[in-house]
Amino acid sequence: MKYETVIGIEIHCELKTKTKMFSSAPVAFGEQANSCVNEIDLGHPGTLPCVNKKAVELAIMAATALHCEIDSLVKFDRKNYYYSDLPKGFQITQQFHPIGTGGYVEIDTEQGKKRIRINRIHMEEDTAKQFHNEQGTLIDFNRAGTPLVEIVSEADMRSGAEAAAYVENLRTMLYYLGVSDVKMEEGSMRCDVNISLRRTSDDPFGVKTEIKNLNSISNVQKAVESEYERQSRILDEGGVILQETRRYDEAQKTTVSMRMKEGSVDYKYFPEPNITPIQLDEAWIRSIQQSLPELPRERKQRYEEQYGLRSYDADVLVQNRELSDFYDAACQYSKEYQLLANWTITELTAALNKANRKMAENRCRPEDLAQLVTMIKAGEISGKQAKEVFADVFEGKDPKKVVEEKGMKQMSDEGALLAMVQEVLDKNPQSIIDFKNGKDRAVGFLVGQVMKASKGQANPAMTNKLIQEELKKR
Amino acid sequence: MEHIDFKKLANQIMFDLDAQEQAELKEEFDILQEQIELLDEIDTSDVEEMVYPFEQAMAYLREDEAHHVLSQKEALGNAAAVKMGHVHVPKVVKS
Repeated sequence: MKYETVIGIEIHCELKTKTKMFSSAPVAFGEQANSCVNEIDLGHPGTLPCVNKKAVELAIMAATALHCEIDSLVKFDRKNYYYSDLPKGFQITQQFHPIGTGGYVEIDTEQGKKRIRINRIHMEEDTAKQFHNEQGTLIDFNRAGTPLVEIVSEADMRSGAEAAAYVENLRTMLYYLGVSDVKMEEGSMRCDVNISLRRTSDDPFGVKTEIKNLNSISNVQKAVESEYERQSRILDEGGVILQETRRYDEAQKTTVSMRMKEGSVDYKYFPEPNITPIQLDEAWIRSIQQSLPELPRERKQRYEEQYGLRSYDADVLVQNRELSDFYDAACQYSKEYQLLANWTITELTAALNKANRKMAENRCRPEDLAQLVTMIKAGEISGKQAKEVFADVFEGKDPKKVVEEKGMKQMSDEGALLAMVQEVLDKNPQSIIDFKNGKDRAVGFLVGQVMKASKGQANPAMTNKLIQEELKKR
Repeated sequence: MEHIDFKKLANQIMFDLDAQEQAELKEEFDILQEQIELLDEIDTSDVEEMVYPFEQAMAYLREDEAHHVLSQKEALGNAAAVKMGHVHVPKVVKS
């Protein structure tokens, strides 16, 4: 039987700050264990939390990009639970007064654009990192207190592809904003997906399962699809879905039960008395909102409307911000936008991969690639020659100099080319007769002779044109 | 007063509690409970609840600059057991 999949997603994102959410200890990844903490992060008695201004700023940026309404009165609450990754015995979060509510994200689906509503975005602190082994549990508190935002969507997604598009969209958006590193594999962006099935869209929501800690966008899609298979099989057999927390097992390509959810856990939320409400300055909020950088979807639209790029190419560029920034820089030097995009997406990316270089280590200058593209378009070099020149441009050389050094510049001087064409025609009277007798192949032969005489440097298109013209005169 | 099962509570949060400790804890809690019950005698029917020490919202936010960090040695100073620079505790998840 066919069912409709109903998906809601919660995303936790570490904010790109220098210090913790409530303490002035540094935020770091990959440092020596327990070397980036102070008494506040460790929950020592008598310590008091103090809210990080930058974290609030980044949360406002994210909330604005998600079209949320901002609550200028910042309040925090305690979520109480007892676990070894939480030294205070409670997490400071924003249960009752999230900084942003009621927004949306737009995604592209096969049926066109679709809005996924955002329920809320709130600030909180991360927990310590634990490593479990046979002997016990090792705790590193470096991550404890790292600023996070949690973004909660409404259950608006209907397929694995939509869920993946939503996460990808958020990921690139938060990256462009500079709000987070969004490295799913390092855990700076973590994704929990809630899934339920129902017969038709008129039916009430079914019982949902939650799939925790998906560490890549492709796994989001795969997890949703395998969970659909599992739940639909149970429903087809007349069974019931149990409300539980599951994880996606990559090797088995299926979801595996972690624990049952016996109703909702009582976290005994109450307002955090150690942080009095903070009234944000409206002018400060506005200044943050007005200085948002160009977001990926705006950039994509600009590429399509202003540069006339194909939607697919615009997408590929936008998904990689550094590559896209490079392309933007190159567009300052050449108006051959589509050709530039082709070279950026295919040749530059391939060369970077081959050389095992990241965009940050790229030596190719945008103005040089633009120059190369301009030279191709002007017919100064052939496409084949351009690839040879690019190998040096990729290492940071000026394409004009490379062309000169290699002596491969195409001969496009009409006068010089014409002299050469006439000389070749004079030497090949038989070809002229053949042409007059309707043998078009003769032109190809003559072009070949000019190429030979010019040592391959004659502009083929121009040579062809001149030969045709001269033949008609004779 | 509601009966508190200290043994069960201690077990849930993974503490050992012998009979004598249970008795001591119960005694302390009884005193505490009596003191708290004194508050019930105050008529608060016209008093609004108060979460924060000040009624006024404040505007202070901390600048994002690292000021104070403990050395690893200091950070681990309170831990009962340390292994490879980590706090070491009994395993709290089923494998």
